[in-house]
Amino acid sequence: MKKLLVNLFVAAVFIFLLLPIVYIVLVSFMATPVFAYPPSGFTLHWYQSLSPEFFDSLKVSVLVALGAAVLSAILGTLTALAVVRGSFPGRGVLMQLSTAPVAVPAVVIGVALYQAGLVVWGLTGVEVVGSLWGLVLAHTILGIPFVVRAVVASHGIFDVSQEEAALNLGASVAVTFRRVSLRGILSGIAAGTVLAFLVSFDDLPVALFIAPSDAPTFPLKIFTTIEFSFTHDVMVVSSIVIMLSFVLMGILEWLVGLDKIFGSEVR
Amino acid sequence: MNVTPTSTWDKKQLRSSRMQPKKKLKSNDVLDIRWGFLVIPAVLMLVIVFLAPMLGMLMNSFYLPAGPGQLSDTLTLQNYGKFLLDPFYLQILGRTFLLGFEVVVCCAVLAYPLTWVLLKYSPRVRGILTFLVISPLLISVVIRNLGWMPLLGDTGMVNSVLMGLHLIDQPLQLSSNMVAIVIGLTNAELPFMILSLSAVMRKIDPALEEAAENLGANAWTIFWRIIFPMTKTGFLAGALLVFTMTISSFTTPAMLGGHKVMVMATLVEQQISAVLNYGFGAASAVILVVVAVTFSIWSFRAERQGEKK
Repeated sequence: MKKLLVNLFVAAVFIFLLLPIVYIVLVSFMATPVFAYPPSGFTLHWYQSLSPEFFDSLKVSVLVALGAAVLSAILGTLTALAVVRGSFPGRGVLMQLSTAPVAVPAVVIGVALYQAGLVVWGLTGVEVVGSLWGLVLAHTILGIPFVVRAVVASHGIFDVSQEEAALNLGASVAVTFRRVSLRGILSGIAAGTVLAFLVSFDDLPVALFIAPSDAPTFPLKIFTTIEFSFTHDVMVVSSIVIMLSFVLMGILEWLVGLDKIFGSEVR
Repeated sequence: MNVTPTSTWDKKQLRSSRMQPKKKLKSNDVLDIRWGFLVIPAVLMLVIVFLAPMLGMLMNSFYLPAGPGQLSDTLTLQNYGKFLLDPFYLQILGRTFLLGFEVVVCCAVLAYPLTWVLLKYSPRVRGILTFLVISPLLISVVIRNLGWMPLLGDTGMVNSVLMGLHLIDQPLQLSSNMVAIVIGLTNAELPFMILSLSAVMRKIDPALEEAAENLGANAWTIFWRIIFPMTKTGFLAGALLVFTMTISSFTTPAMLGGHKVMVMATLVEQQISAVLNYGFGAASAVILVVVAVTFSIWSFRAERQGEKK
């Protein structure tokens, strides 16, 4: 009896956790845009009639997230290594500066960049607000803290004496760095880059202020569409993203381990 | 955590020590100093795209508007005065705190028993369930909120099921209000609470619980006398993390609050993009940042404290 209750509780929490995701996938295959019981039959009709602008917004989001993730990975890894290895003054400040954006609410970063972008536009005519490269730079700021923290954490478990061994055996500094040091922190770089990609792909508040109106990101497109109408299209495109995410998750679980990505570095 | 001899004290020791081979010292020096230069692009980026705009916003918060989207020239504290003296805005700040508190309580109530039970399953089952706990984190928050919107409506699935089971007579008001936001945010942040708790709970010896059970303690006593005291650090870290994320969140209140329930993040957005009051919007943003950063620092310290133990 006690065991049954415990299992029921666990099932209830998991239903709560996964309900919105499962609901979207189910409804996207149904004839009616909301869940009806009994189900009114399975159809692929909505997938075939999906408006192409949703695919365009997905493309924008993936490109922006890839750009931001790569930039965050490079800048974040260099910063993390400088912090844990360098011997110059101000390393503590550097660590604080590079991880500070995670503590600032994203909507505030969006507002600050929007106001600064307007000033830059007024002075030089360069359009940061409403440009995709501006959005990539903004998302890079959101991504850097995750890479820095993940790389610093992975460096903590990396055995530096391996480097000494390589150097003593005659390897050059460059070869040692590439084949020993970099490999030692590779899992940290990978975890940080995945998180930076997700943060960018997930972001609504910064995109709300910075994204170009003719090329909205995926979250922005969904957000502005449902202001007017709750159509089947938003369910279908979200369902596609969910299914793709689960494929990606499987690959990540197999390559790195999901718990390593989120476990070592919750934020 | 840091095992390389990086502090100046360590370097001096290394240099003065005749025992160390010269070659190693040189190569370490090369690695040490070069990093200082390689960090320049990141610093430039953070200063130009993050620090300067934030300081600019702080400046803007001291100017009154001179028309929509315009700022006057005189320095003033009136934007802050307007916020701190008007019950309407103080209520929004209070509501933001209340939201954070409610989400923390909901997450704790669900995460404590769940994490404890999860650790008792076989490693295989636990692996699958952990995957399921983490998997929603990879799905965009916008998508998860989108799923909640039809679910929580008056004729939505949640109300239909509850009425079908005769648990309620009339549909519960679950959409476009605080309840909807709490449900959405609890759903989004529960995995973080579970991860924080499982990091500390894993270290508890199961024999302790068995011993207490054999000595006649009930589940309530076991929780308050054994589990809670031993997981306090992880709980505090998780609770502060969830609280900070909740008071900072914009997407869920904007989507599930239905323009009716305003919190700090949505107030800031509304002042800038709808009201076009840049000065007051900036002042509200500064207040939100001060609150969020304070809790972030506390959260970071709590996490560190947990690691030390």
